[in-house]
Amino acid sequence: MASPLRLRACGVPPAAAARAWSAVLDEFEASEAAMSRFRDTSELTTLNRAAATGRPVHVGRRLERAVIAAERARRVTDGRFEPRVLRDLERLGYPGGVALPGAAAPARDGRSDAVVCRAGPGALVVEDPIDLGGIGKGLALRWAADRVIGAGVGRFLLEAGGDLVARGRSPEGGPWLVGIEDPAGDPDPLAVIVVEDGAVATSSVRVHAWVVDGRPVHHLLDPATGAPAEPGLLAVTVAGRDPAWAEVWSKSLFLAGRNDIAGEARRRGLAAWWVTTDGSLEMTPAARVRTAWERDDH
Amino acid sequence: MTSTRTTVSTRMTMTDARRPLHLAVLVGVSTGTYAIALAGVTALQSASDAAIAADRAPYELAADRLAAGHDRVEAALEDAGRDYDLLASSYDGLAPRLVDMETSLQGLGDRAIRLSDSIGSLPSRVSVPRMPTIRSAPAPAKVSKPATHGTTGASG
Repeated sequence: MASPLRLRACGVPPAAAARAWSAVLDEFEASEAAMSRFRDTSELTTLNRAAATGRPVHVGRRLERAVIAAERARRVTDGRFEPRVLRDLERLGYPGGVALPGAAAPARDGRSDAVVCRAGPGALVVEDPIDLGGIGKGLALRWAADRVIGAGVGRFLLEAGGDLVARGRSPEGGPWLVGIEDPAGDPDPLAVIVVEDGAVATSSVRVHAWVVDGRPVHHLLDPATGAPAEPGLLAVTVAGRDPAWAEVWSKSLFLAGRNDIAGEARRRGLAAWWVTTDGSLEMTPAARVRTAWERDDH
Repeated sequence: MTSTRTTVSTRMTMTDARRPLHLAVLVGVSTGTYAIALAGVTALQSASDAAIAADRAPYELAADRLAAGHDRVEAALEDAGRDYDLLASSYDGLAPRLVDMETSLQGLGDRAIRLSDSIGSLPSRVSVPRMPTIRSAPAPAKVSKPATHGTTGASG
């Protein structure tokens, strides 16, 4: 996941905050060991290496829960969220991932509905290698937030590489205020939103974008084509109760494209903000009521 | 002559003396043979009966099942008949209500016609009092950017 972490706790003694921070680091380390595709020794890498061999791999509870959550996210989003895009990412040259045996991208037409099969308690079989990047980070945030609460901290803001979870009141006594990053690189946020006992996640092409054969590509792939999503959007932010689902919806809405994102977000009742390629910030009615401030120049 | 008679008499005497033993043996052998034959026939008959019974068993079982099936069908027909009777009696109760409903609909239709006539007599234009003109809406207060606690964006 390779995400910078930050925990801001308030209303507790420094010792409790230190315990909570230690729990966060421990949880993210355990989640990396289970779900990272950038680690040669992770459980996910072992599972992906056994893909298509039909050999079951015994995995821990974290990876099992993550794969089940990814499977459910794929069903709920009608296939827009798809963890089996790893071969396509490799084909496009996404850097950093552990090399897997066999390089051919899987056939999309004959692909089975099931991302994973269970071969017994804790034993999984995957047909195609999977990537849990976004949902994995969201789940790690969810579990880390639970451990922060378990450490006795009830008011905190936990950030992991652009996704975050907020609980309780901010140090000033009001709600936590979060800026929506300008994907064009301006240090000023495009908007400031209110987060009360919830989570926020953003899918953006600002960082993970590169050039292949002279054409710009990014890491948000359309599962139907295996190619980067159509241009039109730069970033999508979703606020909700859970960080994993906020991450799922931000990616799913990004793949809906500029023409369909408003209808899709309203139909799902999501609080969503999106930035188009011409730099304008748009949002749903549910997002409007959570917006504390908007920059004038977009 | 005498001698001949004597001889004959002697032979007859010897024959008479052995007859009961032969008869007994004959009767015994006959009885035994009959008993054996009877036992054999009985055994054959019994085996034949058993074979016939075994051959008939599937048909008897099928006949029993068929009879049970007939019983079920008969019971279902009885139930269906009872349901039909119940429905028929319900319909008998419903029929007068349908008549009442038709009467109500007729009344509703008459009222709709009267309403339509009333609508036709309404004026085509109604003058309303003048509304005050709003020159300009008050400008919203400018909100300055609040301090943020965190940022959401692309993951690095």
